[in-house]
Amino acid sequence: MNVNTVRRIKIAKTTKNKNILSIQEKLAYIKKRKFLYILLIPVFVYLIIFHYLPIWGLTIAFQDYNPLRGLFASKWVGFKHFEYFFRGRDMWRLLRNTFLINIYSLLFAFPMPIIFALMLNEVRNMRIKKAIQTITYMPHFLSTVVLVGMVFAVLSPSTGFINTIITKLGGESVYFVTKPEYFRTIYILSGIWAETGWGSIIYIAAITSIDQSLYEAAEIDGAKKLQQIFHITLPSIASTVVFMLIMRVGRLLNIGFEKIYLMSTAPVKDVAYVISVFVYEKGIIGGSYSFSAAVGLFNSIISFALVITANKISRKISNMGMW
Amino acid sequence: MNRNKSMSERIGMVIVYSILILFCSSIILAFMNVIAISLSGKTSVMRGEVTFIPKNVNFEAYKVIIQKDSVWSAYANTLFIIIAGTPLQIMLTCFAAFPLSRTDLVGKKFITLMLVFTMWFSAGMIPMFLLVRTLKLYNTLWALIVPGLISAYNVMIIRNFFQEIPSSLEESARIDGCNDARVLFQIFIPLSKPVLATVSLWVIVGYWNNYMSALIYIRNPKLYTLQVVLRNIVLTGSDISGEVLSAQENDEELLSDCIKYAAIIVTTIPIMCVYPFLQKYFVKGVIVGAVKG
Repeated sequence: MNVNTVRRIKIAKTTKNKNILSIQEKLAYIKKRKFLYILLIPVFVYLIIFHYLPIWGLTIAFQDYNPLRGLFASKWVGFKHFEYFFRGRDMWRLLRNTFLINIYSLLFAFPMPIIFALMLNEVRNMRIKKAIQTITYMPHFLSTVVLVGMVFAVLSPSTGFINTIITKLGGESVYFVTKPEYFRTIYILSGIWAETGWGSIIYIAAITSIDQSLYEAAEIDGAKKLQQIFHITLPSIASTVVFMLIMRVGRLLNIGFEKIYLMSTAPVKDVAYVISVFVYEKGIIGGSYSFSAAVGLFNSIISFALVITANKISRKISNMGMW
Repeated sequence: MNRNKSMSERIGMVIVYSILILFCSSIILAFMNVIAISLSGKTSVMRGEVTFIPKNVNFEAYKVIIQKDSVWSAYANTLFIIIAGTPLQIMLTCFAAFPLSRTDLVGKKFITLMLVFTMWFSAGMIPMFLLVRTLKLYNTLWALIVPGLISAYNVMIIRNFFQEIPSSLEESARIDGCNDARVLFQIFIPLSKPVLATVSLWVIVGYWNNYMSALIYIRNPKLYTLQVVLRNIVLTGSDISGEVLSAQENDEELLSDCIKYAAIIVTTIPIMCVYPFLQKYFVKGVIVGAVKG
């Protein structure tokens, strides 16, 4: 392959006109850059085995999967498992719990890193700023087990400092983690506690890239701090916010398994039962592979649809989106 | 730019600082609460005297934890996963990132799509579980390594970094006769050490904190990893063999809370100690990945 072909390939790629390259030229490229494709072989193998094969394996959602018979020989039952799920008594409770926790989380937890970034931006002293960042980033690195352990510790009726404060103020200590009415609050608040600091990084980065002269001009025009924030800072980071919001909305039906599972004490089970835990209990523990796979598939498809929809809406409203 | 702050701005700053300090305090106090109880004597704890400052400091709870075989084997298992898994992950991630960083790669769109699609849609718990079983990885530590070997997110980060490497470097190397392999191994990888370090840190923390995979894929108690053992201790006050954790302190049973909290601290101390020094690497990774990606 001579220099001209290389140039043609480069032009082809940059002008996005795939028709410029013929099959022969493509094959010649592959042959010349064999090494690149050799590198990609293990990558392909991995992706196929561990991502695409399982996706194909989702077909057990439409079968009565029998491990002894395997994927091909198990009986085909169509939408039976989906119907069973939709008619079952669990579905509404699961959907309600999953949805509610996520909506509250969206309302309360999502804005926190943004507000935190705005506040941190006002801190002038670099040392204090760094100290705050170091401290607030730390909880993000705690494992879920440790986080839940600490939450339970801090809320402990006997030794936790929350209850100590309550009793010192004259109240009675509350066994928070056994009360269903507190579950969502605890779940979301602990999430805010752990992730606000870390989640603000991306917003801080966006804020620092704002042109400082905008602020100077605004000050000359007499704008106060709050006005500056509303008219300069927020619009400038709007695209970042939208991006993060879409990612968040896409996860609306996807409550992570770990934290809920670890926080589920028996009394709160009714509010804490979410789809991911359901799939775990019915599938991994209970062995109803087809049924739980069907529920999981239902979950994934809705999430997928949500991301696409959220992106479309955002495109329509603000001309910004993820792609 | 020194302008006299108006009253409302001063109040605003006071509020901002108060909230920030309150938030930071909640983090510090939470840790102090847990550490204090783990270090305190039983009677003081039971009398409710201990909140942030330990009383009757003793390390009995820690001794119990440290002497537990299950804790040691859990540490060993987790370390094995980290030592085996991290180099593999980095290697494969670079293998994916390097070709994708070549602008003229034939099939680039297809390969990128194949990779990015995994970020949007995954098959879920059950098919993965069945796959792991079919591949005979179930109940081995490899089940915690192999299924997560390539993360599209990490590939993007490294790919973007490779793309930022000035093409002049590569061109002069090619003029000197370097082929793709040497460009990758002798130029790109040495130049990428900071990014690779950052990604490695991500990976290591991920392995350290992993709970769900270990819960699902491991049944053999000898292979339990750190978080699983910790979970058992914190939840039930006994370790995986069902034996209740206890120790004698002044001829009295140690409070299970003390032991539980000591377990929490023991499991998380390495991360907490290492983190402040490596913070800037972690932060950089987020920015590089998100702002560019």
